[in-house]
Amino acid sequence: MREPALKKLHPATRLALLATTLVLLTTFNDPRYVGPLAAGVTLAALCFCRAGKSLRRAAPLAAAFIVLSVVLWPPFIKAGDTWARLWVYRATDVGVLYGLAVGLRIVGMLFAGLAFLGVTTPEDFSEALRSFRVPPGATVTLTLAFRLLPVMFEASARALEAQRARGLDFGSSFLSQARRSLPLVVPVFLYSLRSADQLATSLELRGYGATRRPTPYPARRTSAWDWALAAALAAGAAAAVALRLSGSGAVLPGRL
Amino acid sequence: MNLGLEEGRTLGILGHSGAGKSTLLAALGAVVPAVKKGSMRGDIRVCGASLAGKRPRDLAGTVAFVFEDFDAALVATTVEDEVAFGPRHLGVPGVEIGGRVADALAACGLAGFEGRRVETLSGGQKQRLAVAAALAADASLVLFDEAGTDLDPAGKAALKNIVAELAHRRRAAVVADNDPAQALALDDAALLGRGELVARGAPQRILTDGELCSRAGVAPLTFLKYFDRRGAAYVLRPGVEIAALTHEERPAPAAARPPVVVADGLTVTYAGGITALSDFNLTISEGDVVALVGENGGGKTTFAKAVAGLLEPAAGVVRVRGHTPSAVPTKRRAQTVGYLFQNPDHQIFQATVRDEVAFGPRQLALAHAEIERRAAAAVAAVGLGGREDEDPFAMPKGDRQRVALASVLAMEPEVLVMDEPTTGLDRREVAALMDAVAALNRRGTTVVFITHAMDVVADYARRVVVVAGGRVLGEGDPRRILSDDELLSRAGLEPPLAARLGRELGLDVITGEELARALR
Repeated sequence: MREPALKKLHPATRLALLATTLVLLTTFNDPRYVGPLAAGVTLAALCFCRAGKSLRRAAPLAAAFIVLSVVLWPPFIKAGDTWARLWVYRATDVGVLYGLAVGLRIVGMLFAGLAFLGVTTPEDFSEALRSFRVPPGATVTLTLAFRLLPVMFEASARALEAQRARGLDFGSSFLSQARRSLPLVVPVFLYSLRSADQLATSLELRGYGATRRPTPYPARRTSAWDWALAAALAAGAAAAVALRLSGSGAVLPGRL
Repeated sequence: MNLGLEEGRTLGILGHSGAGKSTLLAALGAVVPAVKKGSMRGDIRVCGASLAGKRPRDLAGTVAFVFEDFDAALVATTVEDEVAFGPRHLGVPGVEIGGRVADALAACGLAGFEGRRVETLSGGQKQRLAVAAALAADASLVLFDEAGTDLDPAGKAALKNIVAELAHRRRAAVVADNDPAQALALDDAALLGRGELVARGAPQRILTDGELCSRAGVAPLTFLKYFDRRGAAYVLRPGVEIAALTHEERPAPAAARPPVVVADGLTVTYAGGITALSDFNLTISEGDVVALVGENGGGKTTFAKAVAGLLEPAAGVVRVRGHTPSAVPTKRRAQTVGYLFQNPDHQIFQATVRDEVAFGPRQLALAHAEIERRAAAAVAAVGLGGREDEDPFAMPKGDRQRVALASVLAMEPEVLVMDEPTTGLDRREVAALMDAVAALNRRGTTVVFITHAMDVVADYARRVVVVAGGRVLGEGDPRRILSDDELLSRAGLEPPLAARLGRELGLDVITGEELARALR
């Protein structure tokens, strides 16, 4: 299977693209601007990142974000004409549009993040951060966090299976599950402590800290595409900010 | 302790649990006393340089370490990144890293896995990856601390080849292992007992000395004294006569005994689309002792978990006493099937052995006297009587495994399922655990255990099921299965050493005891 197009870019360019997308989505609060941007992000995620599977999984969550945002924001926005009133609940046109814009913004950010993670390994991410002169300690910590999360999940799953095999019924209510979670917490906590100790030793023995700048592998060079895209991103971000400063793209000018 | 090792030589470190094998290796890697604190006298020199005051990072590139707890020592998210991590941080040029990664993965049978995420690998595959990562460092000294515990016999054979190849390239290797047969291919063996060097010399000489082995808590390979080594093969010494074969016939379960576990067309698919079992068919009768053997990732653990009701089949059924386990309420299921996990630390959480063992019966809301009775009986069954008030976390792994077994036994299950229960245990611990299980079986408990230790299969199983590729490849009496080379090799297995040697002499033996008796 061919590599997704975005994966061919240098990790630093991918990170810049993600950051610019987040800036663009945050710049406007008018759904007529945010909507096309979110749609563009979705389309790009599908075409250039092959993120269809993860986007499909996140679709119900995205729909929930939009609905919740449209319903929850209006009571906090007084400006505009009243569209709906139910007891103390009052929704104005501006409130609904602002809620819709915020919902679309969150969905755009969620999809952009999923697309980015789909084409970027933690090691790529570290490489990108190093390109932006982030200290090596921070980048390795980040990579390890990515590595340890599944290890902790696996340890939790095994502890859960072990206690269920001994007849522990966690029950269905949250309170009951919380009360009976001690048999899971202790083994996972101790496993985490042992793992952290072992990991630190393993890192040392494998040369971590021996050089300030580890060899990039696989070696990734910036291409003309990276530079062209970086220039386009900078221009796009500047244009968006200028547009917003000129008063366009906002249903509620005083807010993000 | 005084030890030396020249370049291009390999040394096996053998001894009981707690003998000091891991501590010795940790000292050779400067982990002790720099990371694991303690006092140390004397000096260690590696490649001519003293380790005094050094930290592990000072030895990176000179010493590589494969840890027993390999999972916790993996640092990257993909296979390729994991192997490349060491060379990258040692400043190896990018063009050279690619070659090192490819060579190390090929040597460990992981070629083609470059893009796989580490967490999706099986235990055995992760252990191979840890070895590959150590090889990629191209160090002068490679330390293997129980590096083959989770490997199938094919993986262990590959590990032996890797160590031999290291020696060929003028590297030195120190291999700590509980399995004495693993040391036979090495140049030297050192026996450790209670932190002291008991003996050092040629593996065949040391491992045939019953008295020395006994002091180190290592199973002697006494039958080897009848053989001469010719390269990788063993030939009978001139003058040794093969006596008439005598071997103990194990009582086979009566044919009329009812089935306890029935898997019919069982198919299990994990999230992500990996099918671990496909049309898996197996019947286990009441009172049987069944060993599940096969390659890493073959589906053994998946079957065991399905029997324990911890997994839902995608198709087909598994029934225990006629019921689908996953549909049975948790408490009732735990009384039917007891499941012993490979790592006891995933379940132990109480402050005393007594509380840990009594935890399961308490979930059943039994009367206090009954809980006490069950806990006492379970603790006695595993040989931990008198240690009820000890803290299980402070016990050696073999004892923790027995605590875990006792806590499962306290539920008085009809079927006991054990996933690699002897991993990381020394000879005495293996015997203590498996003898306790055999005693339970004599009282009627049906036993199913997963293992890569073919000598344990030969010693304890009454029936062997060979699993590979998510299916049953073959099943039957241990003597027949362990003699079927073609079947075993299809599942990445090989017969125990005693069976291999016996066959070369035309003897129908599968255990060291049988072989020694036949040659007496």
